[in-house]
Amino acid sequence: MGLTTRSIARLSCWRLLQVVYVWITCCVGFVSYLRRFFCVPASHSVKKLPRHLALLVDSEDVVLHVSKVIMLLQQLAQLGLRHVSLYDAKGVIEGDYNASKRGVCHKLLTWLPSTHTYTRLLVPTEMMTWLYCTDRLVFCGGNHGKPYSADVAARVLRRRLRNFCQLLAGDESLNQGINDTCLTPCERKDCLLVELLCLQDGKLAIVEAARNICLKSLQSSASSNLREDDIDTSLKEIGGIGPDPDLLLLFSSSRCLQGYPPWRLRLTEIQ
Amino acid sequence: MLSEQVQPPSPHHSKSSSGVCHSSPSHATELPPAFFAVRPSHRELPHGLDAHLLPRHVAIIMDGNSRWADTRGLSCAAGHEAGAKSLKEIVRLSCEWGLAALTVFAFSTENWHRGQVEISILMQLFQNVLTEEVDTLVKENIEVRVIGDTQRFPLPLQSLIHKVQQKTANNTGLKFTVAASYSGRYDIVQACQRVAANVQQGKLNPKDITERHLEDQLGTSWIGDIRNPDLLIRTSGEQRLSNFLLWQLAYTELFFMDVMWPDVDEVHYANALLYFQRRHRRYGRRPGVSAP
Repeated sequence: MGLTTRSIARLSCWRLLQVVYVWITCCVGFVSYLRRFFCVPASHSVKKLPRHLALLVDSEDVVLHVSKVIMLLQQLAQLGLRHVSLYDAKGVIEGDYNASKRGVCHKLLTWLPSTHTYTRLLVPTEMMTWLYCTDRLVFCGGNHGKPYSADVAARVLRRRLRNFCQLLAGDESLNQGINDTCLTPCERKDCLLVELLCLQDGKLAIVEAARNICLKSLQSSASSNLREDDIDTSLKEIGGIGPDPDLLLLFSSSRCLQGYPPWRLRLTEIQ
Repeated sequence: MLSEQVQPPSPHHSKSSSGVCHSSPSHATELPPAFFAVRPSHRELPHGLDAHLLPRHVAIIMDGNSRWADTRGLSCAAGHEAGAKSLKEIVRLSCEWGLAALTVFAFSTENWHRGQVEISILMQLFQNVLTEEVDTLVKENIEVRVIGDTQRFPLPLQSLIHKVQQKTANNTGLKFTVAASYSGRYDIVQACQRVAANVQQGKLNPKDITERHLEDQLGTSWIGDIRNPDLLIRTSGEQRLSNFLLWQLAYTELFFMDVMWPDVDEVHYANALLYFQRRHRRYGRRPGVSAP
């Protein structure tokens, strides 16, 4: 009798274990199924990442769906992207920050998690370009409408970038890539640089570059044949940083470029 | 073929794509009279096309000649010749359907890096096509301009281009631009160069330079008010501008099709124009929101 009872008990335990095993397997399978649809794939499963990804969004959509923009940026950071430019024609994201701390940009940045003691680096109003960072994201944008000297602005920007990198990790090696001849994004491996662009960074920036070139040629009293490199250099001096986008994603019902900086779209894939 | 005078549509004229907006910051806010002067009358166009909703200026990146030839085991010369035939057909249709301007990307500055044999074939093809078609262009009232760094072309071809441009200069129909040895960045650079020359000569103050000053010096400035394309078509499935009309395409509707250029026919072209008709042309505004 005792033997039978023990056998029955063992059998029940075994059955229970089987049921639990099947339940766990189903749960894991269900979660994996859900992850395929709702989660961004791990970066190692994406074979080739663009060096610079550009996103074009309708200005009205930015205002209405800030949380979705933030979620997208977070997912792109998780994927391992290093440089993203976010363009909206009216400059809602960029401009609102300068106008009011309750603007879209401020909302966008306060949504981001911050685990470090510093969350704000600076928002200069007298400078050409401002920087704003959290532990993972660096935002930079133009302060349009203010008079500036391209040389002064470039020097200030380089100094700010160096200071920013030092603050991030106290690591001098992060100064790599920031040199006197070009402005490049931060080299920190887990840092995503988000460049905020608007209409004024497009054709108007080229006009500004042309003005600066003409001013310089008048001062030097020399006329020479212009080349692409001259325009390139002049554009970089007034705030264009980083490489041309490899891929431009249009998040808009109209399939057009809405004035995205034309100089940078030479070989960009458009989806 | 074209020239019956048409009245502008009334503000309440409604078609399937209501909210279509043809104005943009880069265009005049009102359609110029020439826009209506070259439109067909109220005759029906094929394939469901609406004469009032067609793009005024279409730009085309004619891509895929070599791949078309490869898939058929033909030489690249055969591919380019087939591409030339497609171009002739598209020009004919553009005239027939009442487009005001057509700009095609025939040869980019990057194409100079191709093999010498292929470049020679292309130069010879340009020469042959221009020689054969000059009388047709004159007869069909098409005004032709070739934009780009044409100084790199062989001298006979440069002379022929000049001759064709002169012969068609007084035509008033389709404004046909061929971008050859062209790059969008080169176009912007040479526009800046010309503006800088004006500044050096004291005709312009650097602080007064505006977008308009640069636009007036671009290769497409000769087209006038409709210099910026309404629709860009690129064939062969590639989805990039490849350094074509970078400045001018700021508000252009983009249409990419998988078919190779030599296979493009009337139906493909009509589909691209129908796509334009159906899209809401907003330039960043919501449908129904009027321009500021």
